[in-house]
Amino acid sequence: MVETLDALEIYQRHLDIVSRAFWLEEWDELIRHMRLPGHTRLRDADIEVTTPEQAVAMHKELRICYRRIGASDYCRIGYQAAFTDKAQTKIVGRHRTHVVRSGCYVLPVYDCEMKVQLHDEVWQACGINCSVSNKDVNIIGAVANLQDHLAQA
Amino acid sequence: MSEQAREIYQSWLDLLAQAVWCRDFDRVASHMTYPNTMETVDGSSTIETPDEMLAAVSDFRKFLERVGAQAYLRVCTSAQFVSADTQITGQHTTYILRGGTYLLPPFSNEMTLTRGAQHWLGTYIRADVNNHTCTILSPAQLRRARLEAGKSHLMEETK
Repeated sequence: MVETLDALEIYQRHLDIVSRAFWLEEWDELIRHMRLPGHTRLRDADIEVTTPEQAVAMHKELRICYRRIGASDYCRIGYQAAFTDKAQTKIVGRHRTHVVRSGCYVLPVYDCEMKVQLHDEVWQACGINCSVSNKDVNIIGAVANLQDHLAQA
Repeated sequence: MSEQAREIYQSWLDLLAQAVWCRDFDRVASHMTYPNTMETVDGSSTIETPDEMLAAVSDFRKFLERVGAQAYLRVCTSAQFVSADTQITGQHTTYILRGGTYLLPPFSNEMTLTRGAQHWLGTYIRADVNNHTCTILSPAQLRRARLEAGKSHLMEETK
């Protein structure tokens, strides 16, 4: 029997797989679920990640940020998602990110809008907008620094 | 969904989740009405006193520890005022987490809050999960509730 999933179920599954890979620092698994180049937009920063190395560097930095603020876990919960093409290979969805420690939030809960696309039977994230500032959550750190470095070279 | 009701409901969830996690069971007990009804898919329990609530919450916290939970999160999905703004009914999803993933499949809940003199109080909760999967109802209290239900059933039959 073929399992049929709606857009929100697919979106949530993608979130869960990537959250787990991110938290356990399984970078190959995380990259397998990303479509590059991909755009990451925050309130005060904006970057296009073009290579797996950049994507890993960015996520390592974010993982360090969460560790530094004492987060014990991380949960992303989808609340809206829709297919954007007839073939049902593209989804735009919204989710809320919860970064928690000891039953309370270590960061204010923030909303994100993300695009995911089916490629070789794997749903891959290909762009995300987060309603958070990079000064609060260090999402764009290593990559931005790298690009600054390259720009100066 | 009323935004104000949702905010009150979510604040209550956050406060109590933190109290459970930090073993501040007095705080949990002081945010409930008595008798307090708790239901799961496979059982129900009426908690008559704050002391019984302390025991029940302590059992639940032990369960979280036993399964290796690293975080306990409850997120409101809907909430609305009823009874002239003195009660809120709502739904939320419970997430028990470890290492960026779920230790149990997230489950939904229905809950009623009643406005108290100082703060909102939990009156009723129904969790859409089996108690043998997630120990929401204290095993001792559940056994007692089943015994009492059995006794009253027997009395009905012998009338």
